[in-house]
Amino acid sequence: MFSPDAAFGSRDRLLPAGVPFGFFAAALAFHAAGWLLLLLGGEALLGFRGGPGTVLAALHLFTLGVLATTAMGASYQLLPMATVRPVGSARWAWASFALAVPGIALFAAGLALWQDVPAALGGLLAAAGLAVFAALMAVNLCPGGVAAPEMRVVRHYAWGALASLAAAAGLGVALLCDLRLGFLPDHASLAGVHLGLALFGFMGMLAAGFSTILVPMLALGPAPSVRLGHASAAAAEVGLAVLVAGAFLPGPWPTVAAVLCGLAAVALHLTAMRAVLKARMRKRLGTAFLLIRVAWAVLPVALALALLPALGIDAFNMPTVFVVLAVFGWLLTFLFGVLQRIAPFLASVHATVPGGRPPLVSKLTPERPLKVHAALHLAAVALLVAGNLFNVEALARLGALSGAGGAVALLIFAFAVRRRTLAAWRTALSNTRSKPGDLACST
Amino acid sequence: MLHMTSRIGRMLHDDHLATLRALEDLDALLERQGDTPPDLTAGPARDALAAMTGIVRDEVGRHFGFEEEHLFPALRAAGQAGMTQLLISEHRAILPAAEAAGALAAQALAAGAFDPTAWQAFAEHAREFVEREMFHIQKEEMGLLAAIAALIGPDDDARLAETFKALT
Repeated sequence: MFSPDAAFGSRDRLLPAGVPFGFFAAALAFHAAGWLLLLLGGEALLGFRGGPGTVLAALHLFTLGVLATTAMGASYQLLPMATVRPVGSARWAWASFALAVPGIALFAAGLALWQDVPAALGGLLAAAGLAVFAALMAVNLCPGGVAAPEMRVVRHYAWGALASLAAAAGLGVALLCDLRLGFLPDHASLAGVHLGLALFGFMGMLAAGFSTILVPMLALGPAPSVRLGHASAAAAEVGLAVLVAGAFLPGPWPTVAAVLCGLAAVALHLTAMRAVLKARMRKRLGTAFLLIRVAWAVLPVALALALLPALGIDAFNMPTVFVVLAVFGWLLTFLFGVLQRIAPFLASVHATVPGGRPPLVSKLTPERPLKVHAALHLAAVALLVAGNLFNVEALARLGALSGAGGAVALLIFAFAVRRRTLAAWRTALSNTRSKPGDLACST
Repeated sequence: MLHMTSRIGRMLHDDHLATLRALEDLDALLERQGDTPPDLTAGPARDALAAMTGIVRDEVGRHFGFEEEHLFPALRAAGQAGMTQLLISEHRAILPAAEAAGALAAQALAAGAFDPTAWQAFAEHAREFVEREMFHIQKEEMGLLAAIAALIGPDDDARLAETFKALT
């Protein structure tokens, strides 16, 4: 496998290309599998309230399979670049892949068919993979690297994300065991806490933390406000702590307080991001930032909808609409916006050989599949929401079909990037071998 | 753009901003004109080309030269050889496109117009220059400035800042 580590004979901060791209490939496969399971699974897509079956399996393919694996691949690659400290061990990064990816597949299969042994085994494997990831990231985040104020914000978010991951994973294992053993006092309430910790704690705080690095980099804007970053992370942490406490307290008010803290965190984060984009140098931001902006617009709406079930308002399939908006409308939309920018960026870096011309990112990036994916993905979110609001199963199914189409477009994009990157790398390698003098391109 | 804790980091960042302003104007001109050569007698097209030729003549070579001769050796000594080699490879790819576009723009500015063939050639080199340079700046803003903040001590920071200032 090509990589600057091999090509430049150095151990800097980039892992072998197979590590991040392995996770990204798994995420795209799980993404397609999730939509297909929703489309063909046979269960109703309206008013989902939890419980084993194809819808719960698909939900975990999207959350664990797509969101968590992409977060792992991106974190392994991006966090060391920002902290200027290499990941402790590429082998352990591979170990987290080898545990998590088959584990997620087994877990989803177990949930879909409700076979509790595969589900439990898969869940434990996935949790072990996430634990290895969390340990590697925790070591990388320990003080001793960059002390810049902006990096302290990233660390603040990342520690919150890792704590949420530990809590969500532990609770997830307990919920899985409870399906068979029935020992938890209030399964539904703890499932809500698990969902909140996984979506808003782990993924949300990781997304917000990386946004403070990636959004200025991709838009060529100024650094976001450090004060707003710390305030947003702190508000989110208070909200998540109140959410957990609320599972053990009577009445809806702890959940309401948690959501209000979350909304405050979102307002602070989006204020910081808006300032970055307002002062950016790069004016044309393309399809990726269309998705990122849509995701930012959906986030407060999704969070506000969490208030309704807490207050006992249960009309229009609101709990399902909340999950659709949080998972598909916010997190997946944001993730694919970022991924379609950083994947070709990383591919170009990895395809560069000493003395060779780095490939142009535009030559590695087929634009049409990205536009098709964006249109189909946004249509899928709208149709799933409309189907649930108006209680029309056919609309929701059409949404799943649209999502599956978007997943195919993303796979076409990924294969094209891979093919073009390998071709560029081979060309650069043969050109430099035919011109050995160029290899001495140092100062 | 992060890691503004070092003096040399801030100076390189300011250079990036000046280059980006010129590149954004050039990018907008290329997008607006398509295959049609612009009117160079006055207005934003002339300003954009003049700014671009100035950046190519005065900034890009100086910036790259400083990094390769003074900054990268310090970073290599701190264990960042892979990153510096990657950035040098990018310098080698950016410079030919920048110089070709700059030369064609300077000729057109002197003549007062592009002929269609020269505009096509200019647009091709300029698009490559814009993309490569923006990509390069993105990478430097995220990776290089972080490495400077983490690995360049105060004494080296002051020395590098003085050296860069002397080149201006």
